Amino acid sequence: MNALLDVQNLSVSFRTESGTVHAVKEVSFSASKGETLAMVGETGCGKSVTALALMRLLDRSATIKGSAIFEGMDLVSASEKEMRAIRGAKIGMIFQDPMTALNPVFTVGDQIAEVVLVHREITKKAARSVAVDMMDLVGIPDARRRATQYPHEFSGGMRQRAMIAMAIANSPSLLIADEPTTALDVTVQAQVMEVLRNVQTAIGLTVLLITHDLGLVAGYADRIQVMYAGQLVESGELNQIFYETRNPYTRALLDSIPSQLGDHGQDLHTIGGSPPSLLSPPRGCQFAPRCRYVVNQCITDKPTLESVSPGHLTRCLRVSEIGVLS
Amino acid sequence: MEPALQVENLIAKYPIRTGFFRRTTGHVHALNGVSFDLMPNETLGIVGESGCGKTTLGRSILRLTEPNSGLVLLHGKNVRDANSRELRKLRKQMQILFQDPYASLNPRMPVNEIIGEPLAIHGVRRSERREQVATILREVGLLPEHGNRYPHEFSGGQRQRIGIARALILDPSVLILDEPVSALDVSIQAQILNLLKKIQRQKKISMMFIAHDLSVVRHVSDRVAVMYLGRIMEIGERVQIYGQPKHPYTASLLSAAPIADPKSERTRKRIILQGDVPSPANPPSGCEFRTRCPIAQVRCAEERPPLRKIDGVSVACHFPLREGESLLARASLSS
Repeated sequence: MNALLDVQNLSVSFRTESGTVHAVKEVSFSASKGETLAMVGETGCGKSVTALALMRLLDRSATIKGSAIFEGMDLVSASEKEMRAIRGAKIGMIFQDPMTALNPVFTVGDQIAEVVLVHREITKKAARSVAVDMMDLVGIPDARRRATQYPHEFSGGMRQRAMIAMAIANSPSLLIADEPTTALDVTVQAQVMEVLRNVQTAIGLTVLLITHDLGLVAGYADRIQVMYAGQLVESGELNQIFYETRNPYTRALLDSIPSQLGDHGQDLHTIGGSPPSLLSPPRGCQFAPRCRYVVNQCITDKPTLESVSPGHLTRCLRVSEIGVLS
Repeated sequence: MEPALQVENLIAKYPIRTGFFRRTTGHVHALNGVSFDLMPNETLGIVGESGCGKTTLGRSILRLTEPNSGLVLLHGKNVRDANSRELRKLRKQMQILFQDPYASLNPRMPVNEIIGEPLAIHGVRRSERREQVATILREVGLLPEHGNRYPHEFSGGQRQRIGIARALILDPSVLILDEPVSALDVSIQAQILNLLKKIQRQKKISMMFIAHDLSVVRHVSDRVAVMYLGRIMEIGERVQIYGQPKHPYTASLLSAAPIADPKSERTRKRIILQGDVPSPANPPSGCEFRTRCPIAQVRCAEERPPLRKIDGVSVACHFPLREGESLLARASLSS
C-alpha cells in the first residue's frame, strides 16, 4: 500500500507573549488511500493544530517544521499559490461548526458552486449543476430547491451535509474532518456519519477524522492515533488500540468513558490532574504526572515511540514491563 | 415517602413576535405538559436532543424563566405561588449547576466570594462564611487556599468544582444539574461524575441530571426521563429504559448513540432516524415523534398518546414495544 499522505516530524510552535508554545511535537504518520485514520485526544493535545498545519491555515505566529508529502508535494514548504490549488480541490476540509463555516449572505448552492468555479474551467451553469449533484449525493432532499436557500434555512445536520458536499465537490483524495459531528445531536450525528461513509466508498476518499469521541472512532476508524500534549503516544489498528492497548494514557482515556453496556453504580476510572502546560512541559514523559504506572525514570527521561507489533507504536518507558493494558 | 419535588403538567410557551409592532404570531412550545416526581436521595436523568425542552424544564422549576401553567411542589410547598421572599427561601433548598464553567463564574470575583455569595445573601456572618467555604472547597476536591484566586486561574474541571461548591454551600435538598459535564474532556468528565456521586452518597441530595449524553445519564441516574419536543416520552427505572425501551424514540436514541467498543459498535444493527426534530413552533399533530417514527400509523397523527403506565414504566405511545421486542424487528414487520 502506498501512502497518500506521509507526514514526517511535523512540529508546530506558536510565539506568544509568555513564551513559545510547542503545540505539536515531531508527529509522524501516514495515511493510505481509502482508509479512515482517526486522530484522538483531549482539548489542547494538538490534533486540530496538526490538521490546520497540513492545510497551512495557521496564522503568522505559527512556525511549522518537518514535512508532509501529499501526492508528491510537500505541504509544509509549498508556496501559498500552490496551497490555494490544493485546498478545496485535492484536500477537502470540514469543521465542527457548520454555521460559522458557511457564509450567511450567499445561498448554499452558490457557495458550493464557487468552490467548483475556483478550481475548474467550467461555466457558472455547469458549476451550479455540480453543486446540486453534490447536495443530492450527501442526501439533502429536494436538492435543486435547497440549493437556492441560505444557510439559516438549513438545520444543523443539513448544514453539515452541505459542508461535506462543498468539501467533496472537486473530488479530493483526502478529506480532513475536524470534529465533524460534535455540534450535532446523536440521531443527526448517526445520519451525517452514514453520509460520510457512503461518500467515502463512492469516491474512494481518504479521511483524516479528528475527534475526541472514542465512540465515533470505534464505529468509523480503520486506524487510530492517540495524541497527548502535542505528541503521538500510541498508534495502531482499531483493534490494537481498543483491545491490545499498550499506552497508559490510551488505557486511562478508554476507562474514563461511562459505558453504555457495562456496570452501573461503580465509580469511573479517572485520570487525576489535568494535561500539562505546553509553555513549561514536564522534563520526562508528558503523561508522567498523571500516570498510574509512573516510576522515577519517567520523570527524568523522555520516552520515544517504539514498535510493539506490526503497525502498532507506543510511547512509554515501561512498555515491556507493563505489557498489554486491559 | 413524600417526593422531594413534584412537577405537574408544567407548560412553558414563548411568544414569537414578528413585524414592526412585534405582534405575537405564534408560540414556541418549550414544555408541553411535563409531570414527574423526584424522590429524596434519587437521581433522575433527563435526556433528549437539543430543543426538547430539557433546559427550560430545569429553569422553569426554579422559576428562572416563568412557566405559563402547572404545579411545582418542593417538599409539598408550592414554588409557583411563592412571593419573592418565600421564593428566596425555597431556592435555598433547590440549587442549579450550569453547563459552561467559563460563563457561569464572575471573572472579577475571587472564588471565596463566588462560593460565599449565596451565604451572604442569606445573612450568614463573614467569619462563619469563610469557614464554610473552606469546608466545601475541600469537599469538592479543591484546597482552601484556592479561595483567594480568580476563576481564570482554574481549568474547566476545577471551575466546574467551584460551581458545584457554590451550589452546595446552602446545603440544598434538590440539585438541578444542567449538562454539568458536556463542556469537559472525558478524563475530567469522569472526575466530576465521580464527585457528584460521592456528594450524593454523603449528603443524600435529590438530583435532576439534565444531559444529552446517554451513557453519562445511565451512569449517574436511578430513573430516567426521555424528552422530545417538550414532552416526556418515556420515564422509568434506568434498567428498564436502557435494557428494554418501550418508546420507539428511546429505542432510536439508544441505537444512534455510539458505543466506545468496536466489536459491539460494528456488529449491532442500527436504526437511523430520518430528518430532524420538528420546530417546536409548529409541532406535528397527534404524537410529537410520529414524523420521524419508523413504526408510526394513522392513529398517531390523529390522537396524541397520553403517558400511561405499562409494567412499571410510563410511556407516551399508542403502540409501545413489547417485552423482548426490538424496534428494528417491529419496523421491518410494518414496512
